[in-house]
Amino acid sequence: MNRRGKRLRTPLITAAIGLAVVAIVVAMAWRSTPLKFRRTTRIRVLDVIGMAGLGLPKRDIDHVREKSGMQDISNVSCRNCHGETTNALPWAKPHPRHPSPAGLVVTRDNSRLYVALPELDEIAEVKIDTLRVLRRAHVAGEPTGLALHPDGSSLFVTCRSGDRVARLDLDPFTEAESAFVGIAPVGIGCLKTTNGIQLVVANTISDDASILRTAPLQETVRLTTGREPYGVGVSSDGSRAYVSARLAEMPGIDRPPASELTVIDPGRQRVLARPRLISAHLSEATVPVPSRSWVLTAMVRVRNLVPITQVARGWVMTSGLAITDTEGNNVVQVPIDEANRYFADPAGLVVDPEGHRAYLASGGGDTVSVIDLDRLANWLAQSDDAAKRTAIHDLELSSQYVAARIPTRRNPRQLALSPDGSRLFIAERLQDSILVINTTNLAAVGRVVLGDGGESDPIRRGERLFTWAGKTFQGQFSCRSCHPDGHVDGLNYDFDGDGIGDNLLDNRSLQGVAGTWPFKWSGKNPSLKVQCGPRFAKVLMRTDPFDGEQLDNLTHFVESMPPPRTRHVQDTEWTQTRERGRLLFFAVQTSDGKPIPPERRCSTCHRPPLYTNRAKASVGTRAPQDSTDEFDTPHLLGIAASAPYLHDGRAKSLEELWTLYQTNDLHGVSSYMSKQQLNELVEYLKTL
Amino acid sequence: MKAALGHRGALNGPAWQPAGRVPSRRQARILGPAFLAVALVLSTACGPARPAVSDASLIVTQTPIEAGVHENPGDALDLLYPAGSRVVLVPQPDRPDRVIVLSQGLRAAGGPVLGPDGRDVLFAGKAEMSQAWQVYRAGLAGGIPKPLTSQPGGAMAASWLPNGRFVYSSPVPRSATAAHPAPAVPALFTQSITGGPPARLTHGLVAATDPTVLADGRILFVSGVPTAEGSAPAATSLFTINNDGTEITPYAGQHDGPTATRRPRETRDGRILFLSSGAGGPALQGRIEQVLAARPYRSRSVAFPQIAAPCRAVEPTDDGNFLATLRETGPDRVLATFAVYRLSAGTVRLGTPVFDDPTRNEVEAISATRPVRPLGRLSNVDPTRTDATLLCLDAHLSDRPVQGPNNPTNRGTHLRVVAYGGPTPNVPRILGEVRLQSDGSAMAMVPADLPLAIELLDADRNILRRCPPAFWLRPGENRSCVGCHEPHNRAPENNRPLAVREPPVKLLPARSDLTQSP
Repeated sequence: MNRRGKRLRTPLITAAIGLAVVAIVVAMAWRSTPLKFRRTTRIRVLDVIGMAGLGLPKRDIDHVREKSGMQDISNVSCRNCHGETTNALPWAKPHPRHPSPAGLVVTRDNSRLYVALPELDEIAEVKIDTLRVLRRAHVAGEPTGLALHPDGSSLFVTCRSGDRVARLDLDPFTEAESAFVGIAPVGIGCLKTTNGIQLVVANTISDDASILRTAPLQETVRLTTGREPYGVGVSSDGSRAYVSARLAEMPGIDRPPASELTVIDPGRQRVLARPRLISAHLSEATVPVPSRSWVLTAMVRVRNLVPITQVARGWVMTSGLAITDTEGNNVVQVPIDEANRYFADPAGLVVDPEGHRAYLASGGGDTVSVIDLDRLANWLAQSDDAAKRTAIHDLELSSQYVAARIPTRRNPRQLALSPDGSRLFIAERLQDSILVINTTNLAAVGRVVLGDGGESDPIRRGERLFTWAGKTFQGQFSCRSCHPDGHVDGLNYDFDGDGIGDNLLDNRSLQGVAGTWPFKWSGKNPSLKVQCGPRFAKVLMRTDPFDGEQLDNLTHFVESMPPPRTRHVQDTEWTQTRERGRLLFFAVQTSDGKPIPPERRCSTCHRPPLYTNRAKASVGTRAPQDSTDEFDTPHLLGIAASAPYLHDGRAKSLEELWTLYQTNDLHGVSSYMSKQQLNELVEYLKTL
Repeated sequence: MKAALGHRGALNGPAWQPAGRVPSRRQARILGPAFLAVALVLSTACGPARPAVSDASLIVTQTPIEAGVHENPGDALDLLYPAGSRVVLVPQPDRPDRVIVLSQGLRAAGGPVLGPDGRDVLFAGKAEMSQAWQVYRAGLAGGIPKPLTSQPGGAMAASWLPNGRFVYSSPVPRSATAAHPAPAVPALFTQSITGGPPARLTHGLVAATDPTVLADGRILFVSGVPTAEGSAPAATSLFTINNDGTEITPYAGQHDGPTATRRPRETRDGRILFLSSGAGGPALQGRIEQVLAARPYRSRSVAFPQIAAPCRAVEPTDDGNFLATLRETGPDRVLATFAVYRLSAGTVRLGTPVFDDPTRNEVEAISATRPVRPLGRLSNVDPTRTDATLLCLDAHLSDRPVQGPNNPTNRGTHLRVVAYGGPTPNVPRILGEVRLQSDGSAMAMVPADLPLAIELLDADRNILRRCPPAFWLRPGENRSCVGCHEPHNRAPENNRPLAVREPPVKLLPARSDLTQSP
């Protein structure tokens, strides 16, 4: 090559290398940007292209009008329908798993503690002397609740996402057999009945309780319970089992909700009573008290019907205990909170063998309350009916029977007592540890460390905030108090920011909300960060708002939650009923061939894959005190588990949308449908 | 200095070229550190050096044993902090001779509170005895105190808020022997720490004083419940508001008889300590009492029953103990002056003072360690409005029997709202009546920032029950009450009140009607 060629080549090579370096740097920078930024940037490019084309051919305008069902498309962009696939959403991607302890159980000889680790699909065996993990057993399907066989030979495990109960032999430490139960079993109790050793299991999503025989392990009956049965308590004589429902049901938007405590005779496999715990929800644990004819149930006393003009003095919710007699005839609710401090999200509840003390974990308050049952019994004996009826509202009462508060690390949930009552084990779920307390002096004697707490994981950091009541005034509630597991509490609320009594709002699920912007029923919040930002602090938390980093973490956690599951793992058949329902959902004409206008087709507003077009619509549901006709179109993923429905929660079931609350076909043309077709449509919706 | 450090370039530079011989590099190496050491020794010995502030350091108000003569002795604060009073930093309490005066240049000062960054102190001070008390800010690192307020009638009892503002009481109450009446009833104000106009928080008929900020972000202060006619009460007790003046709420002591309450302070273990003395205005000293935050209406007690020494102030410290200024009067030992003692929860006998200057009274002492930041709160006040909404959930709910003529049902039918305000604040003006719903609920829009009273009426307009003018609403505030004098710390029933199904009844007379004399 001559000199001239060399002179040309050198700068060219330099330029090429420079360009390559720049390209690599840009590519690396692009990859290092948050996924959300990349996605929104991509969508903005789509917007520009799409909107640029909008003004040109009439065909594009017609396309937008037809697909959006709106004539005024000034607020519609390509993003409303395009640019989102479910497999690209955060909840569809794998995320870190942590050894978060769930169910705990201690062996009769006080030597071993078994711990369910649902995120790892494992059961850990801990030697209590040394607080070290000895063995681990693999149990697929999110092992959650634990119960020991009375002879100590086996461990029964509820597998929440596996819809089954597994039996583990303790020697060797492996799964021996399994039986399917209802959907999402959590609580479990083992008791000796006239029919032998039996299990009672609370199936949270199918709203029932399974009774199983243990030799061989087999479900014998499934009994209907309250909504989201969660906790199971069994009497020591095996004659009764109690199942507490986590969610309350509202008989109407203006009437107090109530959750159910289901009293079961396991021997006869019958429900004996269904006492209603008025205005109680989040009842995640229930336990009969030895030597007393009581059943204690952890509960939140919610005040959702009262306008939220303030948080102070228990205005939104308070935590407490429901004391029910063993036959379920009488209920007295007593507070656990104090006048200026609250202990949010009561979870695990255990009672010592003599029935003198109860321990109640506060998942949002990082505390375990120690309740002196003798003093509580004295108070009950001295109080008249009127005092008992209003006790739950008296925020200065708990000092009569709360003997101590034990501080814990983040998110104490499940508890276990050693059979002799000398040791209390507290599962610090979001710290990946188990705190051990000497019940004589209530001092910590050690901690079982299962993991590092997951501090490096933004989703875990977000969940810690989500479940922490320290960000609300006096710690009265956490995000989880209204969104247990990120889902719904089934209640409506009256926020006072837009006027007292105006715009009642049904609580919407946070499960599966990634990509379903905007948020709020008014559709005013374009992102979760705005939704959870200063306005939320002003209206509800009544403290400092979350800072930027906290909002990032909170958003990571919320977006990591998949839509609620509604079907049993064995329910995989696509039936003809469902297919007919699907055709109705996507119908463009009625049964007699009359065309359905685009704006009144189900699939126009509830457009797959998220089943929302991310726009507001007027569907004729405005109530007298609503300030608008238009409401955000909710996504329908897991809709069967999100009752009640409509913006104010007036429809208790999907069926009621088209029966009681039919709005002259404004909410989709459905008046042509027969009863059978409506059922088919509902069946299809239940599969989403 | 550069020469002393032996910087060759500097030595060779024209500006540093000495007239005489240039020191060699070796000489510079030796002379430099020597010069530095000498400078350090000289500055330590002669300069205004300030010993480092440690966890043991204190900020103390000292008053002269022989109180000076006041040129304007009408203020109540003049009695607490007579001429010659000062606020000092005590770096080492065991060295009472080495204190640093923070209120330099002021004729009197007292009531220090340490800022959230642990570097600045607010206190009340007087530049001249003829002037009014104002709030001053001084740095622990030194400097002349800077006045932050210029309130007519004075300002006092400052406390830091977490949002860059501070709260204080103004005007300073007159002493019992004052010749002239106070210009106004003392109220609480906030102001930015960097300047700006004050914003009034309280609008009651009774003086609001001694604010302190609780860990949950509320302001706890001393005030009283006026009589039904609006006159001042015989006793003072504790109340809370949010940092924007909303949600005025009784906290403790409203039914405890004629006692005077002063200087409430929150402890880290969930108690409120305060000084209590007989009624008749703020006394200089009292005994330390307490209520539990868990049940403030059922837990009042003497905090240190074994200690009989008169107390001027008590402050919690970060380690769970307390700093109290007491004058020991036991049989075996009598101190002439107040001194600073450290108390713990179980203290039964005073030990040796942690700080005592025998030539002065130590009347207040706080720890110089950085305090824990309270929670903040975003304001719900809408400054564009002059009204607010009041919702009563059930006017029939009360812990008081009905009064007035015998009523066969004891059931009210209406609520009457009465406002107090303007130039004759004790003259009530009826704003109007609201019909009770069948569930006892009622909702009304009322003027903001005025003391309000509520009367429960029967169908014949007889007064069955009366709530004195002890509360107000801020602009845009939505305020609810459970009942009509319901038991304290009672959460509401979970019912949707019927009154919210209709728009609130407007009881909004023209503002001029409220501010004119009848």
